Amino acid sequence: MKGIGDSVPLIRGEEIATGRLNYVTDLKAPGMLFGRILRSPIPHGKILNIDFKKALRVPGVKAVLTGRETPQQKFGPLLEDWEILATQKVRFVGDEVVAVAASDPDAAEEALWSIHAEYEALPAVFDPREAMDPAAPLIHEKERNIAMVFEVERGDIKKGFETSDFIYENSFSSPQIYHAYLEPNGCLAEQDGQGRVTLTLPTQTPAITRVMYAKALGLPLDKLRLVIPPYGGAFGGKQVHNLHLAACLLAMKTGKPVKMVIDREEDFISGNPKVNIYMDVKIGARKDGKLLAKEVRVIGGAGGRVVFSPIIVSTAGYRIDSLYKFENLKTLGYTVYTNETPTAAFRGFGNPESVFAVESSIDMVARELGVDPLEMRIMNGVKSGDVTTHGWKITSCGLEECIRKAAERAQYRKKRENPKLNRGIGMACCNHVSGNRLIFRDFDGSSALVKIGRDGDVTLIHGESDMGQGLDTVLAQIAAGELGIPMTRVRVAQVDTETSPFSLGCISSRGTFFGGNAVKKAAEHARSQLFEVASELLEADPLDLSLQEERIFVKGTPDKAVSFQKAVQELYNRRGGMPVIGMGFYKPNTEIPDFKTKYGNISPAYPFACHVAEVEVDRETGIVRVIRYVAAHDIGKAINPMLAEGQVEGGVAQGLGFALMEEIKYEKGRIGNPNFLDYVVPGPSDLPPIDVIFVETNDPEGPYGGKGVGEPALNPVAGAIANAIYDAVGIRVTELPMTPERLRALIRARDKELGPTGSESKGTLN
Amino acid sequence: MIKAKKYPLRVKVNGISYKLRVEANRTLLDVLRDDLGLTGAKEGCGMGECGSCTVLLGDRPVKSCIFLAVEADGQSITTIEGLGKPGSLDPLQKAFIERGAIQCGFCTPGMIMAAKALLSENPSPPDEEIRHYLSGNICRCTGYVKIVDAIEAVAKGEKR
Amino acid sequence: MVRLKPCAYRAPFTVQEAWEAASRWGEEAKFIAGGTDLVVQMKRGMIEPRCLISLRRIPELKGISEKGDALLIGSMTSLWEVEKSSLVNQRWPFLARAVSEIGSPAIRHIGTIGGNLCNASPAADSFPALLVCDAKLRLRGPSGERVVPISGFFVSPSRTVLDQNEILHSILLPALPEKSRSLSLRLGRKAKADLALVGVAIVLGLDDSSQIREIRIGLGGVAPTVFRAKGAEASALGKALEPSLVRKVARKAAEEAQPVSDIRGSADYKRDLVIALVSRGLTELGCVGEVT
Repeated sequence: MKGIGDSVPLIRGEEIATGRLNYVTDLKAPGMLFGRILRSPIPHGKILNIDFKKALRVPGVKAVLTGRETPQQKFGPLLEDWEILATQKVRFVGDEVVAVAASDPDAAEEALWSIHAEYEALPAVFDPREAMDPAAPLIHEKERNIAMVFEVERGDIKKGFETSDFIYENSFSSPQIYHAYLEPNGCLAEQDGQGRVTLTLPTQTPAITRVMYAKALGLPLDKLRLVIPPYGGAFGGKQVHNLHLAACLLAMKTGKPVKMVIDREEDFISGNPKVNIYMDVKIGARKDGKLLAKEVRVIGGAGGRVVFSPIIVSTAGYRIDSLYKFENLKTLGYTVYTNETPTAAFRGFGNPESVFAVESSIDMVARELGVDPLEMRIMNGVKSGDVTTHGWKITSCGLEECIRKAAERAQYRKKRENPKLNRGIGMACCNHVSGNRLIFRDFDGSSALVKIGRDGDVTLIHGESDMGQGLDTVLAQIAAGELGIPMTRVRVAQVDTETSPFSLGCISSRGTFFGGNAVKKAAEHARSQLFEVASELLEADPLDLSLQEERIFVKGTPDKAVSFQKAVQELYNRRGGMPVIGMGFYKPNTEIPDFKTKYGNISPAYPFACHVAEVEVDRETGIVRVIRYVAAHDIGKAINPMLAEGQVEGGVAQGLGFALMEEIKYEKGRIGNPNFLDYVVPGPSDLPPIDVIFVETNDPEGPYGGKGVGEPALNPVAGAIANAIYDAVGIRVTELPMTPERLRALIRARDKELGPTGSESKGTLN
Repeated sequence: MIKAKKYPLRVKVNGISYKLRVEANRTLLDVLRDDLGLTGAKEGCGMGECGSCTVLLGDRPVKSCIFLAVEADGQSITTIEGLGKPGSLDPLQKAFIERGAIQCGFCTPGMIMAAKALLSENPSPPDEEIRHYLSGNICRCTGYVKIVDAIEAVAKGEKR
Repeated sequence: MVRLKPCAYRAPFTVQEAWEAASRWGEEAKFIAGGTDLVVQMKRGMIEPRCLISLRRIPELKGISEKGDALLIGSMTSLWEVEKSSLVNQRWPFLARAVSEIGSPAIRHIGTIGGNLCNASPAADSFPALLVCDAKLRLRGPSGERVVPISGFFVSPSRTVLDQNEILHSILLPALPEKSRSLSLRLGRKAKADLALVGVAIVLGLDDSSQIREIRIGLGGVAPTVFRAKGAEASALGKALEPSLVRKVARKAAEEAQPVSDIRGSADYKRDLVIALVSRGLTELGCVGEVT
């Protein structure tokens, strides 16, 4: 029987592999209408008039809604700067203006084309650094377009630099990136006879999203129900979206179910791309490699309204301070409105950008000082038991082991010391969280129910969200393991806010950590009830009982046993048929940081990782080939090694795109590459062999010692590759993505200055 | 709105013969999903870039979202539903499940059909050839590692 | 879901029937081959044909056969068939190589060589190889037939010399010069399944004293149509193939190119790619030693 530490396949794998798993796009409802949205064609403007008379006359059109017909209620996931449909102004190309529902998709499309919307174009601004200029046009009524500021300081930054033997300064940037989940966003909305709206949609955060959506729709919370179907990937980009709200309004208006699934191009322009980030970094170190000072200014583009960008900006500014000990630090972060698509959470949440910038800088510092880059990182790295400068309690830390193991597997030292022409090796580390106290004001935690049917089959009820990473499978594994039953007897209930616990969802790599702990407790509670009745049947002390392979037996005398099923039935019989329900919750002792000082332990455990990339650079074309990749992860405990490996492999692949290929290209506010032809994502031939190493530090808080891995998988990739490129050709690329064209231009410029062999000519011909 | 003319579409889909009449502007993907209820093939991009819509036309892989349904007249089509069922899975389906080649699953039907086409043309493709053959199928979750592993395992006749 | 506009459809069995349908609909009709470019363009709203005339049932447009020492390829032959043809691989392997870079297998199984040619993309992978082979295209229209050298087939991006009702019937691939070597190289923005930024095809023949007696350099993606870098070719004829000449010829080819900066790459970068690919091509085909 499979258990913790086993590589159990996905519980719904068969349904998926036979094409029988239904995603929202596969759903149908009787009398269903098709919804579409008319979006702003300009980046900034006043809405003068919307003439939709013709649209109403298109046969099959059942409703046309403009901003005027929406609840006049400001709302938003962070700041209240959202509207479902624009009323006065549009603030980005793609801003929602009109919603239409029709009995067939062609009619809905025709309706869109027949709407005449008039705008008065306003001056627009696209770069957040320019948007901060006092002369820039104001997008919302916020001074200098600054939505939020983040500041934190520790120690004495001036003194830190004064006592440094070497100071390195540079500016780094990373553009908007698209999640490129394979399933475009969409939903099905229905209102029943009692006015309750059921919204079937992919969202990583069911309960929190429901709260925001109810407010937006002007509905009492109990009149809005969210049901989460299987969905096709998210990576941070499927939390909240106006299209869901528009579909609800159309369903409420027409009294019919409304399905709205956007196409790929629309998903690009209306989606929630990664925040574009500009980071100025200044690092000071002592000649032995001790990091003494770090000063960082982060500017992030929010786009036309705030989704989660301010938290991403702050993460980019200060998360890495709990990876390396900077004795003195100062961080300033600005989140600035721009007339581009609103930016949101993307795997890593600001950490990948920060790791790129800071690890590139540390690499340069190590080279300048002539210190060993491994030992320097280990010397400055946090250790188990530390309380970091921001008050983060490091309950387990495998950073050193990750560094040493990754370096050894990749032959890092050997390759650095014996360089080959055009080849290079680079390293980057990361820390991350397993959950974040800041997600929800009122609490951080998770809960679950385990319901045992009279026949012994188990239904696991949780409220987190499986976005394809396999969370349901891992949770079922935990429940099955604790209850001594095969996984085939565990069914995971669909997340439905009507019946599921109020859960904070799958973000900040908290799914297995929080959900797993809750399920473990719920299963333990169910088990304790079984032990109570078994103890009577077996005339033994409950503490002497064990449950394995569907048998409850007395430890030491395994023949003295009663079957799992019998114990369940006995409970049912005694309790008038009442189901056996185990309930459990996990609530860590984490803290909301002090608003001013930002000090506080935000997560119950922190995962760590070290990645090493080996590259070959083609100087004439700028093409970077990653020839080998090693990813060592302090994962606490690999509850399901195959699924955990899958996370790392997928994260490295996505990180490779982030580092070398991907960029949403804007031309005056319009996305020029809203498709997979021109938004280039890695294909199978772009990827190197990926060597995954798990370091198990058995975190005291984590379920079976486990910690998060989803985001750490991506965090270090750009930093490792950037450092490898520098090692190969001596070029420090500070702008992502490090495309062949960009690298070639830097090489060409450097060759012009120094001659083709340059001062960096190194190594021997292979 | 003009009522568009319909054209004959006589096809065998997963072994079952159909006599349909469809408009010329409908893609094979549309007809499979909406008219025949075979929703395994997905629309991931609608432009033939992502491969989520891959089905077999005869034994050729085709991007059904950019293939006009009427052009399939007289031919036979295999979709993921026709490949194997719970209880009698195709070795590729088994390998994908057992080796962790599936995460969110949206790309999976198209990916498996592409792999099926590959193995029918070349039963023992090396790693590089597998990767080249899948160049038209995007997966964002797995990094392709376990997908290639699964296909290799089937090619080698390995069992778990 | 991206919708296509309503249209009529014909699937004739002969070229005559195809012309009849075409003449009835005039400019509102389009011939459809594999559809892998056409349907995408319809979805993008770039074209709106009111009638699609399928060529898939016309037997005379299919197949690969030998014609003397040349190869005759029917326009409706799939790219996959061209790529895998033993005849093509034996005698024009660089064409098979070039075709193998187009899209992905599913595109090549359905897309046709004729459709690829008529789509006339400046960066099409097969064109440089076909050009340096001096391929000849047979066009059949209601008013007659004509053979056009490929060098005269393309007018500008997406435009060819085909008249309204003319159908590209077949491609004649002449034998390459005796004792010559050939290759194709291309680069996109990622390893596979990306459009080519730059494509190069070279035919090289050396005489007994290792001097260049034959050189043809075809370039794609760096001009409105595929073209031969004649100036670069002339500068190489009669000379010995060694590193300094390779570099000179590559630079000359880049000078003859007229790349445009677009969302895929800048003109400067494309020029760099021409230099890199032409030098590597020549080096591989005949040169010993490293080119700097």
